[in-house]
Amino acid sequence: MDGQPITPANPREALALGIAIVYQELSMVPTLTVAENIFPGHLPTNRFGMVNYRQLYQNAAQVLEKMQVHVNPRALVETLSIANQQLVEISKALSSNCKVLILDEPTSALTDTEADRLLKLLHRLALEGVSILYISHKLNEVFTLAHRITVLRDGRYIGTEKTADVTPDQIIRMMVGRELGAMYPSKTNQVGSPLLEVQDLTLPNSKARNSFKLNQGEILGFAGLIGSGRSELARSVFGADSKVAGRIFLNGSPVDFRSPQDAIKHGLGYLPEDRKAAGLFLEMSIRLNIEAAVISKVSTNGFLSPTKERTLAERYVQQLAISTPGIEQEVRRLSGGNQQKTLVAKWLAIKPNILIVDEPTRGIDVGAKKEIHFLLRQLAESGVGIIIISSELPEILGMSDRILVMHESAIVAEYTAEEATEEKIIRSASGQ
Amino acid sequence: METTPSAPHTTTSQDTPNANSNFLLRLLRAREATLIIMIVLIGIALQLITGKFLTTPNLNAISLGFATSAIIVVGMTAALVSGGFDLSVGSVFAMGGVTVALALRAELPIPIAILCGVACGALAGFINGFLITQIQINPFITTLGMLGIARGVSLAITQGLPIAGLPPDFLVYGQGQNLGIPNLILIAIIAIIVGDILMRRSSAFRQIYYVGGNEEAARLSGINVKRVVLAVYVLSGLLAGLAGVLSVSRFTVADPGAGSGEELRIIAACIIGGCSLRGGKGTVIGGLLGLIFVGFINNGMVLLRVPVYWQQLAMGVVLLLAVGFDTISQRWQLRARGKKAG
Amino acid sequence: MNRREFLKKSSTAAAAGLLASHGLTLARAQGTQTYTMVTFLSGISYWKDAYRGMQDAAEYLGVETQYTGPTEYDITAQARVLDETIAQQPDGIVLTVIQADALQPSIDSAIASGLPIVTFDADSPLSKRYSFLGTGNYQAGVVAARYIGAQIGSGKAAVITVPSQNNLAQRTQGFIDTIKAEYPNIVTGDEYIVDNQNTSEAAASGLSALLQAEPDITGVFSSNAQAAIGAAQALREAGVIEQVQHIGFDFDEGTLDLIDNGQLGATLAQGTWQMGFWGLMFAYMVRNSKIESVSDWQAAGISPLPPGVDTGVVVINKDNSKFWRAS
Repeated sequence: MDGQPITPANPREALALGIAIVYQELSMVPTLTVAENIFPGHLPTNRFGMVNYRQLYQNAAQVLEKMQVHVNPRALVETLSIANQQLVEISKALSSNCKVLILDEPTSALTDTEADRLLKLLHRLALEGVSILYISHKLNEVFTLAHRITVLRDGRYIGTEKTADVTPDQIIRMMVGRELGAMYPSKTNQVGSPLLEVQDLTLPNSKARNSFKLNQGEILGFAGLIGSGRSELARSVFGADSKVAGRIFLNGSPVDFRSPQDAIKHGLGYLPEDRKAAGLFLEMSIRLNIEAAVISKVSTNGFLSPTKERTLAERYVQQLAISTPGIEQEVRRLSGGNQQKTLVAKWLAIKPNILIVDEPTRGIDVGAKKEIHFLLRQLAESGVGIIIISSELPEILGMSDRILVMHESAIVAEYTAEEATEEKIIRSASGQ
Repeated sequence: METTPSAPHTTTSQDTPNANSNFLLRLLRAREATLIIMIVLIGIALQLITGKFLTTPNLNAISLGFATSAIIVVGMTAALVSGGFDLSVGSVFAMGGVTVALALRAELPIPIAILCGVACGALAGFINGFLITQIQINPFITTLGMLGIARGVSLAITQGLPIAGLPPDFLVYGQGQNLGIPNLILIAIIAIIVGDILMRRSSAFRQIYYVGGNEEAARLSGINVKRVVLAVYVLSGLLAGLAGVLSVSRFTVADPGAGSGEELRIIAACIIGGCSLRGGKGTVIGGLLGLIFVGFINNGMVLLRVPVYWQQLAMGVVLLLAVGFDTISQRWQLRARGKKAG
Repeated sequence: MNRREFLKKSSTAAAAGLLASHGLTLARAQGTQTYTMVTFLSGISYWKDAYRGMQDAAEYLGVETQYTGPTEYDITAQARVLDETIAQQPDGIVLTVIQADALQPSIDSAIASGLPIVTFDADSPLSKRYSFLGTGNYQAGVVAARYIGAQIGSGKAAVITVPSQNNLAQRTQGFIDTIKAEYPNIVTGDEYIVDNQNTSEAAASGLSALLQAEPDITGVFSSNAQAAIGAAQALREAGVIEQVQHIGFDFDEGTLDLIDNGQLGATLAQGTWQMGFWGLMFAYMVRNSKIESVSDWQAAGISPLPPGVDTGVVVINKDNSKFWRAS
């Protein structure tokens, strides 16, 4: 640092040296206030050693003001939107007056508008003399923000280029080690008969009645802002959350899923948006993760058959090209992309008729992202109906045969692949 | 968690480890292996020093000492794997014993009386499971409450008095023997083997690992989480009740104060055996090895003539050393593997 | 009794200066008196005999008795129950204390207000209680030692006990001291102590291990009821129940069964009935001014009663065990 060799043993030492880090996963205490989270290690105290709250809130307000983050320092963190939590997290890092700021995928939970706000802020900080190390999978962000770009692949250093000297395609080539080609598979218009029909489904906290159809072999995109009710809608169709009202038809006959168990029995799969909290068994092996939803299929007379277990896991590890030394590898040791592929494998194993994927490529590398896109298309071509929920507009536009837009727990617009544009979707999603 | 020896499989990964070394490595990595090595070393050391350790009567005495605990370990392993624990086992143990004794004194046939004791334990477990899954009180408070309730019931219905005068035919379970092995040990061995096979291989019991590994992911994978958790606590209570029945048969007296502090000894054994308090991990054999480990240390301290005033201190130190050593060695292995891969 | 008579009588009594107390207590003294027994862990069977003794004395004296105490092992809870009992102003309290010093302020202030208190089983020696009736635990250990000593004469003797529990530690010490002093041919000591943690399981495991280390043990003293049950089972499982002499402590149905079928040589019964019976007698004597050990004991500042009474232990064996059954 500043020409001196340093070996910080822990984040506290690094911070003392002027290096602050914002992690991909939020590291705040949700039940404390914004101000308490910004100054966790150095709360101002009065002469009795008690926290001086007036001082604390003033300091916090100053930091937030400087950052142009408009949240109340007295609000509990858990009441903030994910985007605001992310901004508070960054404010916390900056409150230490650091010289170097490291950010790891800071926009993975943000919508495009929110991400823009963050990028502008970082730009301003750079002008003020803060050095920024920005880790991201999103090339457009990197190209907007960075002066120089360094590419790492499989834990190895590949190269560093000046932004002005390279094109996104060159960077992608460095990232995947080969030509990637198109990110999205070509669409087919051979859509079959209706598979799933949802009528007048109402979500909690809303009166809107939502109806839609999903056809065989179709990829139906759900666009909308974070919190617009897309995941909630998907979860209530899947039986994971209770719905207020509504009817669901599968192949024309009415069904009532009271639990995910019911839905899975009828051939529905749901890949949740938060893979670590709701999707994966992180401390278990790839094999155990892949067979989780089909335990009975790998058993004989109520006892698991090691041969069947191994065959199933190996088949999907191969099919999805999951990079691992073996099927007994713990999932938490895999890269994000391979974790996501494992999760997809779990749902392929149930041989779904309908697969709902919620943010299927969030926080994973472009290579894995492309593979998942092509895989989903391949599934659709085999007759599976697919619902894709994504906050990345290019992904929605690139993948979907038809797009529904949600706003405040209601479906507000429907576009065919041909008529949809980013602009139209954003306008509908923001309620205009 | 799993020690199933399955052939290593390589896909797109760059390194192709030798099949044998991988199997050995995984075996060594398992908590059970470390524990078995420690137990064998302790056994050899005690035999060399005292010359009295590895004798049939001594090993018999040690096994009898933890036979009833071994039965409880099966249920506790399930509870820990599911991500909870059962603090009520010691009290339910006493309640099961008191119930069977009262049933026998009421001149019910012996099988019916035993059933009463076991059912009483299962009922306590059902109440635990119901409160945890339906009312969603956390397992700590729920089973702590049951710890008080079951002990209170035992004291109240006996008015604190031990119950004796049980028919000799009933005492055969805890005192008789078959093929030269005490019945109590045989029953414990059966419980351990059946429990271990079920936890390892049964598709129904596999759900417990998923629930403990990630409850929400388990639910979204179509597992009926509430039913699994309820079943786990019923099992735990049932086995604690059974252990209580067998203990009465061994000692000929149902003591309403029996088994106090048993819950912590059992949980400690399971943790030594590789269970995690966070759930998703652990085997029945591991819990048994934990019990054997503790049993060896206790017995060894008497053989080594450690003064009674120092025994608890020594026990505490040995426990921390055992778990600490294991945790550190696992971290080393991880680091070593990380370096190799990087 | 009407109000006027009541006032007259109480003023007479007060004038007589028999007791420095207030009107309400005196009023009750004219009718049926009430005495209360206060214990801790009040649900356990151990106190039953003591209260039965108290009830027997009450019947003889024509007074009422009450029984109370917290069910838990909690110092604060017992202090609270004692204070509540004192506030109800009974005619006397027969009390056992959870801890020697914790209840002293309550006891002393009650005594100062004229409420007689005697302690039993466990004492508060620094308080102003009139008397303490209980088992001399050390002396009980001596009795056990003499029983084992006479039975085996030589060899080794083990003690099953809970070292952290004061009363049991005293029994153990009495046993070991006496064996060493009076039976030079018998080996015992700290290294022959087994901690049974108040359970039969731990007693059995511990004694089993000790029998491996010292196969020539011929005498065992179990200093509590669970120890006796567990130790008997360990001796049975080791196949030496015929050879080893074993004496227990306290008695319940299970212990008496062991004695009757020859698996336990004897057990020591504490005088719990005696504690209750004589405890009430003592309190009654003070309350009703029946004792004049000196011309004016209050002025002299002494207790009119024997300050400490060892209610002793008696040996129960095969020959007399039937007298403790269903009592």
